[in-house]
Amino acid sequence: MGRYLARRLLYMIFVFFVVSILLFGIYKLVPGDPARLMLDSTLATTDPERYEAMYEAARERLGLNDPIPIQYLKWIGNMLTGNFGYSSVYRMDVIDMVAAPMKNTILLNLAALVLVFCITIPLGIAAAVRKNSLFDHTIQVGTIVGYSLPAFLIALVLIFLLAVKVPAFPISGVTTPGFQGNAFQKALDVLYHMCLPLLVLALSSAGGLTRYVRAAMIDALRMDCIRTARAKGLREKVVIYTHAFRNALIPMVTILTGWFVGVFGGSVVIETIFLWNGIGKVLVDSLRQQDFSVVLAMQMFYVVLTLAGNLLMDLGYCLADPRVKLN
Amino acid sequence: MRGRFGSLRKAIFGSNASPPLEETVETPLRTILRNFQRNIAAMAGLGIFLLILLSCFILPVFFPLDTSYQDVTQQNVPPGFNMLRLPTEMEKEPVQISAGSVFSVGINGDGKVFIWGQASQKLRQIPGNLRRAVQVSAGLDHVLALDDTGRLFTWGNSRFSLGSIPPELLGAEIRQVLAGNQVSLVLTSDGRLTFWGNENLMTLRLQEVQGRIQKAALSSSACLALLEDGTVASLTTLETPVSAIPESIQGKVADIAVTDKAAAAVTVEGRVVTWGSNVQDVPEALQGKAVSIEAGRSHFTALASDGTVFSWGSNNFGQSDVPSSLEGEKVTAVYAGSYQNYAVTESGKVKTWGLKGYLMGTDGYGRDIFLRLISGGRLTLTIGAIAVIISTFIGILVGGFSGYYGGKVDMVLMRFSEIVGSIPFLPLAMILSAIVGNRVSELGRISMIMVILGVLSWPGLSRLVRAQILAEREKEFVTAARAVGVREQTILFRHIIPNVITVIIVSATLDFAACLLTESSLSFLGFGVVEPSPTWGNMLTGSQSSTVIGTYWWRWVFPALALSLATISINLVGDGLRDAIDPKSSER
Amino acid sequence: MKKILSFILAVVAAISMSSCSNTDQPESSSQLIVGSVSALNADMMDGWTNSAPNKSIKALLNGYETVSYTREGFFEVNKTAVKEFSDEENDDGSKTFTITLQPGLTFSDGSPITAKDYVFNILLYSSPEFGALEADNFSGIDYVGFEEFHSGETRTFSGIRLLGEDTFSITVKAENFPYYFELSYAGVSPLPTSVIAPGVEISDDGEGATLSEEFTVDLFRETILDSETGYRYYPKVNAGPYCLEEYDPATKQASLVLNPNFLGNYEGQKPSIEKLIIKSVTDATMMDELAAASVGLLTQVSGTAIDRGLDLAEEGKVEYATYLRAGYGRIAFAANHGPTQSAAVRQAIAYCLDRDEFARQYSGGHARVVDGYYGLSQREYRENREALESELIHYIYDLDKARELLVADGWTKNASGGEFQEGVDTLRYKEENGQLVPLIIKWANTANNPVSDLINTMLPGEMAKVGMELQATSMEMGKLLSELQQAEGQNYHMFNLGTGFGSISAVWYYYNPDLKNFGGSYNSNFLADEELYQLALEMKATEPGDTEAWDAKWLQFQKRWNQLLPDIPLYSDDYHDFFTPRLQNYTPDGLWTWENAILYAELQ
Repeated sequence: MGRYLARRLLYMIFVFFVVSILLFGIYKLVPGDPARLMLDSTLATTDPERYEAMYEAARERLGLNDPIPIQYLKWIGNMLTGNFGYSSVYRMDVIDMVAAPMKNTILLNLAALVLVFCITIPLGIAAAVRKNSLFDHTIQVGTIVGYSLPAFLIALVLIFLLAVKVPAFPISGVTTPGFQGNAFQKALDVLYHMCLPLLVLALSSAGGLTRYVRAAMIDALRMDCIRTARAKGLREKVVIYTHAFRNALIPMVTILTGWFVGVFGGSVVIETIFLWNGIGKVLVDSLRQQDFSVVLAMQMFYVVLTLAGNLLMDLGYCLADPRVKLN
Repeated sequence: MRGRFGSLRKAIFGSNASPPLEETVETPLRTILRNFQRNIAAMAGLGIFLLILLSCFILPVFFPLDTSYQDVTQQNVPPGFNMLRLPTEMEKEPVQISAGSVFSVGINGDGKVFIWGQASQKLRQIPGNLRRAVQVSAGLDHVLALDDTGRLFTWGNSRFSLGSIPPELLGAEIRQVLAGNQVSLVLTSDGRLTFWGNENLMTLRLQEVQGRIQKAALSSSACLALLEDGTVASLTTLETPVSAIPESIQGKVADIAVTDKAAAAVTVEGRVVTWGSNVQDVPEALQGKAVSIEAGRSHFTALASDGTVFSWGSNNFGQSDVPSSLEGEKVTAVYAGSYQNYAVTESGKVKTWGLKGYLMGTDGYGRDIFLRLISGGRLTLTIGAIAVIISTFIGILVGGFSGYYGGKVDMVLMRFSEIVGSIPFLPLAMILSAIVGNRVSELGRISMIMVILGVLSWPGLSRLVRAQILAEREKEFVTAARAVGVREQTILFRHIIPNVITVIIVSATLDFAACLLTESSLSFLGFGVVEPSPTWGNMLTGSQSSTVIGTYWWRWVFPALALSLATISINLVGDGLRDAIDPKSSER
Repeated sequence: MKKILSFILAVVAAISMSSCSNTDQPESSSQLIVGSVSALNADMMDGWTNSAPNKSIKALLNGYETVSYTREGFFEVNKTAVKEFSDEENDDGSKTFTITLQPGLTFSDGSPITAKDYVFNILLYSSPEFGALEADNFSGIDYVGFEEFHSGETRTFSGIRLLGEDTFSITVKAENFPYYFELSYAGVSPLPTSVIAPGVEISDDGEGATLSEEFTVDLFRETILDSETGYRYYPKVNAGPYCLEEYDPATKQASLVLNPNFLGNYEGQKPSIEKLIIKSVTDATMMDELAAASVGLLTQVSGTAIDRGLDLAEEGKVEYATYLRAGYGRIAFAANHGPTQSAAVRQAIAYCLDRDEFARQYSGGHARVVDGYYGLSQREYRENREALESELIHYIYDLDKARELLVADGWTKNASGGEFQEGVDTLRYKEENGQLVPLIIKWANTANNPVSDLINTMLPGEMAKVGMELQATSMEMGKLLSELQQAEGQNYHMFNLGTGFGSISAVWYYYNPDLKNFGGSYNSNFLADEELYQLALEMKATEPGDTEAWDAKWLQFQKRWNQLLPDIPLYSDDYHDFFTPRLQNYTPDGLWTWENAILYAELQ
């Protein structure tokens, strides 16, 4: 096991570097001039000399005048020493810039994760157990609706219904502007603003997950061991929740690890519509504004997360099903 | 039972082994078909999906979409076919009818005003003190009316000061009222015009002609006046396509009409002369006997002295097709406007032709949603399929090899999938769009984006397949097969893959749904198919405002319905297929 | 299952109830929430980013500028801050502005404002030390002695003189004169020296304002860049009508409170609304937020969103103010390469587009088609409207004219070099230097933008009818700008974007035929027309204050521009500001934006 881990870690480092070169190359290929975007063009139009001087200074500052391999080495060196770069658009350290949106994203996604798992696992199991019953069909079709519509549409319809027609929830934002209150009230205020985005996240992801759980459970319930368990006269609940569920865990572990990375990912669509200041929007905006330090730093962060997630996933398989051998 | 032992048996004897005697003689394919046919939900799903597929691939042939079409007067029209449906009371003794953009108003013999078609709430609020109307005019979204005491009324849109009648018109004797595109015109009997409304859209220069005006004609961009001496003058301060009036007709004009870009005049000799841009030939049969002329947005309708009616101009809504039922009837009056025509026959009946309405309404640029829906579906379904086929194929291959062989192969393939999985999709799409630029068509560009999506999105499925196989290959039947020396590939593809098919089918159907949605997310982010080519995704993105959600429901409900129907039906088919392929699943 | 569901429902209900009761309370009587479509960020000091809402906040934080831009559209010495103002031409052609401050000016913390604080502003924003903070440090580039000071050669800025406790002078380089807007060079606001640079002394021994040794980058890393207390993120002491109370990066909301020590703007006007909160909104739901009173003011609403606002106004839920835009939407051409080098081709494209229909479709009637380089709110337009309407060409949809222009310009060949035949051939070619050039126009646009969508719908078909081909490519705004400026070569001929006019419209830069130095950021059309440039230079050299002469030259410039047609001007909007009925006396204008108008408004 120890040797296996060591080897995995070695591979991870290899993959990390390959990916870092790939990503760096890709972003360098994106056409456009970040130095120009850094400058305020209205200011520049009144004063050409000043603008040109500022433009040159900006190129120098972003290191755009170096050859690309040198730019890469500088960048990866900084990355590894904990300097995640400098946002050319916001002109501050990437770490300072992404901290607040990252917090918001994690908050929302963790809540969504818990909510979605609380809904889908029992729902999926129940549907699998009562396979082909009316209940099962209702769940099947009902959950499809959630993921057969784009999240922005669900969000807008929910906003229209629950915030405009019946003003039960706020339309957008993370907190009430100018809100005064103690820490508990403030937390409640955030929770209140979180309700609608949460609902959208749950609706749009519960469908897929329920179906995965159901499929895995159906497969598990067909196993010989279940037959044996039933034959032994074990209670149905024990059969389902201890024997069958354990066997259904493998696909669920895969999904769960995917979600684990997703927690840090954020959703542009939801963040844009609910004006939830999160990392997804920061990422896309940075991409648009060619603020590549931010995008690259975030992307490398996700790479590390994914790699770690994959390792965890494989370890998870071992735990969930002792028959799985890794080496 | 048969499934498990079947696999084992095949594993032991090889697939060419003769079937055991107790098996009924039925090929596996037939079994699958039979099982599938038994599943009602799956069959229904298949039916719906085929219906959608056929509609999207065949209907556009019969209802072609002109992507360069847009019409400001047809914006946000609700579904329905009531634009030419006159109220029954209106049918008796119609005095006058005026067609606005998507509604019409009329006066019947009692002087009562009726409004029909897609009229907004505001338009339906006919002023209560309007007793006996003698003249009405319908504009884009407002109405002007004159009653028998000479009082002027206006309702509907009251913005751009349309709602306030200029004070100089109080007590004036009025000859003609005209409501246009957010502007109002009133001609008094002393030949003076009063103009008010949205000055952004039209401003008039009136000094030179005031006091001599006989009749005015108005369209959304032009305004012409027929003067008392039989000459025609263009009144707009800015040049319009009809500003250049042919000299040959000056002094001999009896009636004028103006469409958006062209104008027509009836001379005293009964000839019709047209000018402007995109003018079409006047029907020869009409020449010499024309009496009066009316104009819609892009067509003319003229009445001849013998009571026959002629329509010509563009015919996109059938507004130039004079119905054959009018043959032999003597028409006493015709009214045309927008895309509608009304002819009143001698017997007092009203015949109509032109635009009746839209099956699914129109969008914010006045385009028919039904047409866009069927054309858009073709694109949406095609590009969704591209991505999912590619990613499923690669995913099964990589996941299968990786999971089955394990060891070095697994290590390499999984590292490869990790690398691919770390390549972000959006920047790649951006680079591609920029590099390919305008060298390929819109469809080509979006297909390439979906290929990239497919090539980048298989790692998830491959891990899923691999995980399933990791568990599967340790099972007894594989061990048994290996023990008797069955070839590795055969074991993998004949015995293990079928056992993970459940996961693959669920994944592929979900992925197809996801790809349909990816298309719309891409539109949301601005990387999807761009206007004017429609897809379900960009139709939904175009509805991205609470006003549309709340008020113009037809703009999002129909594409959303199409999208979810397609997704749900493909999922039902997937479920059915899974159950059919895997007979175990029908056991309990 | 049921238990879980009912539990969730109960929690949701509890949250919504408790929060509902909370939301009623903070809507205090004198607090206005301003919605902004573009996102807010943390920068509250000049030198770094400049997003629209931050610009507004900075304008509210700064005050007592020496030269103000008035509501009427002129530069004027700010009487509230300046007691005496004089200008003097020097022998070398440079000009010195001497400014004496009014007594009694104080910062928000009550400390007095002296001439030193004005001088410090110019020195800081020109210093190499400020540049070392990754900030723009070119603000004094027009003043004598900038180069030496900016490069760090000397700590003395020779063109800036500190002449006493309340007097200072600025000497502007000779090359900038004559200049119609010369007063703008004398504009400067005070910065609190003791807060940003504690311990730093500014002296003047007759050679110019000189900084003491304490003025260092390290000092500024603490006083400016510190993420908790730095002046960049949290300017505690300032001179403007409002003070920053809080900026929350987690929610991207900023709140401003009244500066009790503010004496007024150039008209002596003091604001009365106690608290302003600036928050983000999206186009999709902003009107709902206004109706639900979670936003109190939405500015510069355009297009079809206006109708929804007017509906709310009719229901009595909101009020609105309308004014004309200082800018216009346009199709810009690259006039230095490809077919669009020729004015005839540019005009032909204009004749293919039904601009009137376009404007109606895009704006729902809330915009007007313009024919020159102007926005509707500009004073020059308002005062010369009749002349403009009669003298400029109004390019209407007219394919015959387009065809004529193309033929006259030599686009008469087909692909094989023969004569172009109407109805047979689809694309026109022109023979240039023995080669056939196709009449293909490459167009760069941004996606999800109604203007692009409409042009893409309305234009390609019509252009095809006269033998032109339009090839559209969608890209990001950043990429589009760099293509417009030809930073990556000459790839596109046509672009669509909006242009806003500032208080100074420096056409002598925008149409400077020296493409090597001006092409791109300034002359984005790459139009090298001597005649147009001479007209622009004449405008620039107008005697300050001679409005009549300026207008006459302006009109000449517009006429020439209208013939050359470097842009197809599309529309200029009727902007609408929608706000809660509690807001009174709020009267914004095209260049007199909300941060100016709010000083005169009150909340009921």
